[in-house]
Amino acid sequence: MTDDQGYDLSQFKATYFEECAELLATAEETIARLQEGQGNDEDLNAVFRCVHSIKGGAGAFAFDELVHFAHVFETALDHLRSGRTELTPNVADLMVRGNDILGDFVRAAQAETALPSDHGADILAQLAALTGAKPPVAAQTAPNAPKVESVKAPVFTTFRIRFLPGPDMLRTGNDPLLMFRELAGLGELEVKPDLGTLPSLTEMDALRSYVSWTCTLTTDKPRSAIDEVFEFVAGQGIHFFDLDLGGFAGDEEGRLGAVRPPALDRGRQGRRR
Amino acid sequence: MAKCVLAVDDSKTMRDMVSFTLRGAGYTVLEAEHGVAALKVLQGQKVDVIITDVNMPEMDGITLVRKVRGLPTHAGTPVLILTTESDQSKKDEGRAAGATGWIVKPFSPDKLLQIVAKVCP
Repeated sequence: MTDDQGYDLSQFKATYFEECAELLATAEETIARLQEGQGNDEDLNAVFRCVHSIKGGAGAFAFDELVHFAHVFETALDHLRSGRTELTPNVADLMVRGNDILGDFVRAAQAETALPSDHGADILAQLAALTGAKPPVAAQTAPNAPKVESVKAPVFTTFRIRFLPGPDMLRTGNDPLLMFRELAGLGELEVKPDLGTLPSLTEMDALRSYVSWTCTLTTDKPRSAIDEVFEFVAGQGIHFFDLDLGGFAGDEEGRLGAVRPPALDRGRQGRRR
Repeated sequence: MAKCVLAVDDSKTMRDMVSFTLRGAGYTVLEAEHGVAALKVLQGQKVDVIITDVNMPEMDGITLVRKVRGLPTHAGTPVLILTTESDQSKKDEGRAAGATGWIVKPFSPDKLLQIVAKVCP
């Protein structure tokens, strides 16, 4: 979780660093067991979870260098626990050193100090090599370029969306009414259900999806905003955009244009391409 | 009545931050540190949304999703899995298990609230 304006998440840093100390110690003990040949698959999973948790919290606080190292370490551990990489004595030694470097990054983040840019680079390269990957380059922050502000009148587009969810949509907790509510937040929405495939009440399974819908949405938002509404059902339901009726400009305040293009009216009458 | 969210994560930091954000937005939040503890919570309480990490001891998040789908009281409850950008396989695995959707880590408080609102009845 990353900080937003209005949410002060810094109060959780103390908990995070306490947790990191415990996780690093657990990882160290567990790796030592693995090094001595006394470990098992669950020990590898445990070390993976330690590094994964450290990375998760680091991402929340935007400790980028820590996230970067932890990600490579975690990926190597994932290869080990899945058997794609063999746990040899040399690899176990590398795990020990990886955990030490991870600890360095945690302590640097806690002290709000920066480590040398090549700190742990050799270990990082060896961990990456375990997975057959080249050591990833840390994300570079682009210099702040001056922003050019431009004010454009919004362009409205009418989309027609045929939404044919898979039969198991409701079983996964996805509710079409919530999707339509979200879609309505994007603009002017009309939804028409197709009830033709509904069975009789006696044959109906309450958690099976039978209905499909045709949605006509006029919006100044991009197609990606609509895709986001259906993101969680993209694999199981089918939605497609069969008619883009063309864009037209709104007025200066962003309201829908006073002059409705003929194409929009055609769309409202349900013409299909 | 406030909507109730169950936050499942073995990381106390993550549980604290998720709870803090959701409580600030008016949700009631219950917490569990792994899948087994989450199932115990669900035995005695109806929740509206479940948010679960994937990698946890005792019972991982994918197994928890499967178990939840088998509970008569929560078969249709939205379950969001916490995953990372690089974990497309976890998204697919979660969806196959019956997860409603996912939240990609790291995420902002606003993003968390937006996704919970997206699935919360």
